[in-house]
Amino acid sequence: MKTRRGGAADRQAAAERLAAEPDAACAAVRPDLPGLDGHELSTRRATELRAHLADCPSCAAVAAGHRSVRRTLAELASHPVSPPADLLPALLEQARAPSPRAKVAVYGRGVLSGARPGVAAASAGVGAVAAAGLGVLAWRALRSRRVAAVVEPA
Amino acid sequence: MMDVDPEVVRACQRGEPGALDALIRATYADVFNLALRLVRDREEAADVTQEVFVRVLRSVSGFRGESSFGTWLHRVTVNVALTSMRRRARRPMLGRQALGAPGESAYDTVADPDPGPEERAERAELLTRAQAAVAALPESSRTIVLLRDVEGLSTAEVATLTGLSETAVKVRLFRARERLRASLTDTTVTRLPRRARRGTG
Repeated sequence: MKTRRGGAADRQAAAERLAAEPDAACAAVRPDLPGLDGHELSTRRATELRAHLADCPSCAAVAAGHRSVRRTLAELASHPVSPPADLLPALLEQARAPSPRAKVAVYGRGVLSGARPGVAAASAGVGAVAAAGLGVLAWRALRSRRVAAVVEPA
Repeated sequence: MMDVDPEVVRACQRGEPGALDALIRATYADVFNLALRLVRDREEAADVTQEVFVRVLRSVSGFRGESSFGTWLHRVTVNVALTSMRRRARRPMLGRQALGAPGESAYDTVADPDPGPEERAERAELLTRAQAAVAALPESSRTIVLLRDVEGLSTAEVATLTGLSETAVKVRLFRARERLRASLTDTTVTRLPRRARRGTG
């Protein structure tokens, strides 16, 4: 059964391992050293690693290297480069000219919700006229067929 | 993370004239830089920036503010950039002007008023080397290092964005960090004996 040990016991065990088999002890901690400062290890594993580092200058140097690299990487984000000169005008133009889909969406929303009553009334009027026109055309077509059947009986 | 004044976002949502312009002016350089760090190509980064703002224009009125607008914009940018990178991976690279190409530095004009010219030059050189070392990583590891160590996202967020498990993210991250450390620091005193290195996998 595993028992939790304190930091002093971890350090003692790490020192004993290092004294007995230095290469093996280092090899056991090296793969996890990149996660030590990024809080990507469990508390227990981080404590084990720190105990080893306290007694192993070689691994401590590797850990310091990782810290230094992480500081440099974090700095990459804080040194911006200038965007192309034509990017901002293009973006502003894009913002001022809404896409056809957006226009349709706004138009439809205004009609259905009643937020734009003028457009809604106009749409209803156009729709009514169009429907009436289609109705008249259909009635005329039907009537002319009936007349033709009466004039020229088979 | 990107800082965006919430009042500017609210003004956009109210449809105030000039508010969208103000939002774009305040954020487009950050969006472009984040995209550039990920896609490493100025032209592609500009395309990504345009696509990001198409999404912003489409969604800003419905933005509910459950996270900060800057966080949301950051996430949208990463998503669009990753999509662009995946699309690019499926087509041949022709005439790409890659950032980090030999002799090209994005950091040679870093304007930091505090250090002296020598220190500034050294810092710029280190940043350029770091940039080149990151650029030399395999794409899958590079994206993870950029999101975690440069952009400061959590491993859980990186896992979500890349579609990997958190364990897989950590494995790739640790390997990439070790590779970067080896190429950016003096490794003469820190190298393990061959016998021990064999055991680390």
